[in-house]
Amino acid sequence: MFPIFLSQWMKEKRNPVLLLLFVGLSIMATLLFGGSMNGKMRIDVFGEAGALSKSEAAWLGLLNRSESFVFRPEDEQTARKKVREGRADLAVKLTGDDYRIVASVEGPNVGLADQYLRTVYERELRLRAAAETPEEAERLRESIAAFLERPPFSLLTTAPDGSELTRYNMSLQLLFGFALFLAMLTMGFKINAITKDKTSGMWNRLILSPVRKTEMYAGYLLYGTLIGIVQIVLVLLVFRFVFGVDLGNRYDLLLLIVVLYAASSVAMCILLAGVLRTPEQFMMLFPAIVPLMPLVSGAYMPPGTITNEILLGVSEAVPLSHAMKALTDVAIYGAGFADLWIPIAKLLLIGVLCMGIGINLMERRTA
Amino acid sequence: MGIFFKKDFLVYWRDRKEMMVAFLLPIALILVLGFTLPNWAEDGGEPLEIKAALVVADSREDGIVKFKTGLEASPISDEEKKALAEQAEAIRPEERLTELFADEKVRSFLEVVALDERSALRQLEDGQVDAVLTVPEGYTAAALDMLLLNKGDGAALMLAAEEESLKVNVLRSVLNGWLSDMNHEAAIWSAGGDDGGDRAGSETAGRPVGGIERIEGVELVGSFQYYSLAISIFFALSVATTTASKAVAEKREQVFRRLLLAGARPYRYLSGKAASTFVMCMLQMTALIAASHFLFRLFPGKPFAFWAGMAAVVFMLCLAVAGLSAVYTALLFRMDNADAASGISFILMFVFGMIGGSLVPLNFLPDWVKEIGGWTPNGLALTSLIQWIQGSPVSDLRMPLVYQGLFFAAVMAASLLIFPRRGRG
Repeated sequence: MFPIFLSQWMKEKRNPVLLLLFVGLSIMATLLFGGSMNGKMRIDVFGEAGALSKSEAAWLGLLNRSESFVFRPEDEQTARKKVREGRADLAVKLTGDDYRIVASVEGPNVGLADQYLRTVYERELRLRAAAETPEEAERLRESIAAFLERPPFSLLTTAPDGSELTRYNMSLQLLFGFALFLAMLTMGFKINAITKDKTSGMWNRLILSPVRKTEMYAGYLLYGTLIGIVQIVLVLLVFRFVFGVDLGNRYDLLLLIVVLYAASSVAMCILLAGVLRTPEQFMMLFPAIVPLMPLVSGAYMPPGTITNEILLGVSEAVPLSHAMKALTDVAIYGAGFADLWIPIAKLLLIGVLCMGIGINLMERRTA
Repeated sequence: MGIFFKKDFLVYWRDRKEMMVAFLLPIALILVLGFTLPNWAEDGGEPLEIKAALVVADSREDGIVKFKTGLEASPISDEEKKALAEQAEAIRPEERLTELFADEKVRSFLEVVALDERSALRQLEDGQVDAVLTVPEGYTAAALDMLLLNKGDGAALMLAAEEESLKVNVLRSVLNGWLSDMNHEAAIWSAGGDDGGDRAGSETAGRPVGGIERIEGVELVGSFQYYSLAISIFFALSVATTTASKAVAEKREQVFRRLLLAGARPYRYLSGKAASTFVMCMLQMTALIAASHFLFRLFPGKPFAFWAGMAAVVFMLCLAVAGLSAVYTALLFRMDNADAASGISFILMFVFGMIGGSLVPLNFLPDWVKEIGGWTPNGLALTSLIQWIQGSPVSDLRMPLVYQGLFFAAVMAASLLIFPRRGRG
């Protein structure tokens, strides 16, 4: 086993550019995607006559007192173009004391923004109706703001035992999701080395050598797993120590999950490599299959968003869903080992099944 | 070039299993994404079903009695006391809650059952309800104290949940929206006095029309249309990678050197690759778009001009893909390490797919990445097709088409530069 491992490593050492490129790009992509989601949703705003008039600018000020949206003035042409091209979900046109939403693709964000805009407009219009002069409106607005400092009605959200409810952290989920997903890409690329060695005849020479078959597989698989682990750990370390993201305090459990995830993903890659005979086919289909995994396992959406039974069933077979759930449980809810045994067991099961079938398929092909 | 084109095309044709996979996989994807995600993305579709328990530990009568007792003790005139007591009778905060839950729209996704505290908490633990809303003891009294006497800290409803899930969040935002409406009303009422309050509450207040701007001739792009296009385009990109990986086999088996020995000119090999990629790409795109059109009724009743514009975009995209395949092939023969070359094609395809919005929802991307992504062949094809579906004029298509052509020319020129000349291959 060790010689195989070493040979892989030596190959890498002699020609490290590609691996570094893979790992570097993955880390960059995770930073790019996982890191940009902490912010509010940005919505472009333009006025009726192109530039914002004075009263429209006042509306803009009112709109921007939101926790989830940022409205920024934009040239009408640009804003509309962005929406038409699908680069922005929506833009808002301010028309005096009214607004219109410009959207081209139907989506949940449009509804959310509409709801928010309507509330702001209704309240302000009501307030203006109550006041006779602009000065009075201003006075009213101030006294209302003062009144709302101490609202008569409020809502307290707690856990059942009365303690504070832990806030779910969506950007942390995205971070984990991307880190795991991109690591699978690197691992797949490494596992492809087996099929490559088979086509180049290296595999046959190894079979003739005193190295046992199990050792051969173990060497390749271990190497792929290790690369995956290193990549994920690197990403997490960067986020923890460079960007100060709070990952909880059970680093041992996080590491355990990462190791299991890497192992089961490598198993899944072996299965794919077994199904797709040649390294060429693998290279063609692998990058098309892997990006589906985060989509199917709901990594891009808050948990509970996907309610479709079929999709939920499919996601059970994806290591990413279980690993992501386990990681978020540990980092956000401080779950202990006892809470994690279900995702861990599922990861192991996926790993064992895929590995068994995959190696079997590979062996059959060479025979 | 003809003979090389034929060779490469036959190489493709020989592997029909792979072709089937390249055709069926995207269809399956469109099916899965189109059927499952739009339910969530389009008009709410499959509604959330939230079940909440309501525990009322407060008694309104007790609250009013308590308020009146407190009133007696306060140092204000009897007349005022009487007026306040009357007002207190008229304010019914808990009734408003019942109204909220009875609202048609709220009822469509929220089911509320009244329970006592213990069984509510047990059901919460068992997962039978998603959250428990409690009206705590003294709620009415606290609300009245705050509203009428500006005393105390106001009244708080309690929402208990096991963890912050989507359902709990929706419930919470519904409640918060409702509470903030009540607070706002109370604020106007207290600030404007009776007079202002009446007018504010009356119907004379203007209401925004709001909503989505509908422009004549502009259509919204449905999720199915979006996914079909995005996925077809991404798979078109993968044709270039496939060509490159087939070239790996040819390099391994010394096909290229044998060709050179037979007296063929190197660039003809390259152009054969590009041409066959182009044809494969066109075939695949046409088959995919046609199949998804008939399977999912994507573009019913569109005129010929619409299809012509679409064909033009697809044609130019395939040209760009062909150019990419030429670059990959050239890199492969220039670099000693075939792995590295195919790794680079793999990475390029992935980067294009990511920033062009084919693999990841675009709203995750920062603006500047979106900007760059709009200039990748796949990203550009997607945005121009989205615009085209919405009925934008032909002039909007011109620039993207020209750009794709320039992209093709540039990468072809680059690949010819990279490709080893005769005698050095």
